[in-house]
Amino acid sequence: MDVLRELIQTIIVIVVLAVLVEMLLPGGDMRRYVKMVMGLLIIMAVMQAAAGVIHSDLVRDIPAVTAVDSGAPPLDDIMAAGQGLAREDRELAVQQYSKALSGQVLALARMNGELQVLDARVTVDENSAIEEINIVFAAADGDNTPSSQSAGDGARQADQDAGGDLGVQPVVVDIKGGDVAGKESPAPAVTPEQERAAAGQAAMVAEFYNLRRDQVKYEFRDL
Amino acid sequence: MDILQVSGIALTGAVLAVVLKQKSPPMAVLLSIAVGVVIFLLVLGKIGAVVDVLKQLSDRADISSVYLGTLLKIIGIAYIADFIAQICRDADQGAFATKVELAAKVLVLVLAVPIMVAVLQALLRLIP
Repeated sequence: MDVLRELIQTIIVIVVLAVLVEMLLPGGDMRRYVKMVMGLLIIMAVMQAAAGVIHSDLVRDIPAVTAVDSGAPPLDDIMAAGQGLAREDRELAVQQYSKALSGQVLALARMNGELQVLDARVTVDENSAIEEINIVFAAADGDNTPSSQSAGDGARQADQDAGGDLGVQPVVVDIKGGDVAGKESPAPAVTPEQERAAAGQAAMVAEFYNLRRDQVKYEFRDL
Repeated sequence: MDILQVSGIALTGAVLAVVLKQKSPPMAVLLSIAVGVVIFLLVLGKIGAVVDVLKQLSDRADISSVYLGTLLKIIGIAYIADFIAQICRDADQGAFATKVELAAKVLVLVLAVPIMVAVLQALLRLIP
């Protein structure tokens, strides 16, 4: 009895809804078309109510009524593709910015002629802020130090040419790298003057870009 | 009191349109369009209350909101098409008015197709 009463109540609500909607309908030629669709909807509503009362799956798997657009991909796919494109563009822009900054740093470091600057690399974060700058100096410029020598070679050379031009023992960078590093790529020989000049250049670059001193690093490499 | 505003706007527009029609018919058409848009916008805000009632009723009757949304879309299409068609007829462009109505009918039918399919499926399920 309760089931029947519920069904009748639902149908009454549907009828009231139909009357309300019918009042909203425009006059003229369009009225017939809208009334037809409204009639279908009322049929659906009544069937849905009846199916709900008898616990049937009569109208459970109804096709989505909003899926009328064909050919266009789903909105989620479009949004994901757009976000991917934006990410790629951002990465590309950051790369180009980093490249341009590297060139700028290279030019800035070469202004001081004390050391030969081989390369400069700028690491930029996602917000286009400079994370780190690496400047690569040539280990020997041919005037002050034995050129193109590794640390080990430099040490040997120093042993052989004891009492040479400078009379200063070359810095053996093997102390930092240890044995393992020394086996793979021996550190280049760097004079204290070069080290000082490199530190000065790094400080100048850090000051120019308003960075902390530890954000600008440098290394020496053989020519 | 809104009806007084709407009536006043419509009356003023009508008088002005009659006067303008003799001297400058295009301006009369533009005036009628403007008056129509103003009246439409005035009434647009009031429709929200009716839509809320319809939503409550559809919830009470366990009707999916998708169906109600489709129905409201169809009613909107019909109203807009009717409105534009009348403006076109006022401007002595009956052909345009017919085309607008045709487009509206097609759009209404496109929106109605899934509902028809759903009704058909439900009816076919009734057959053992």
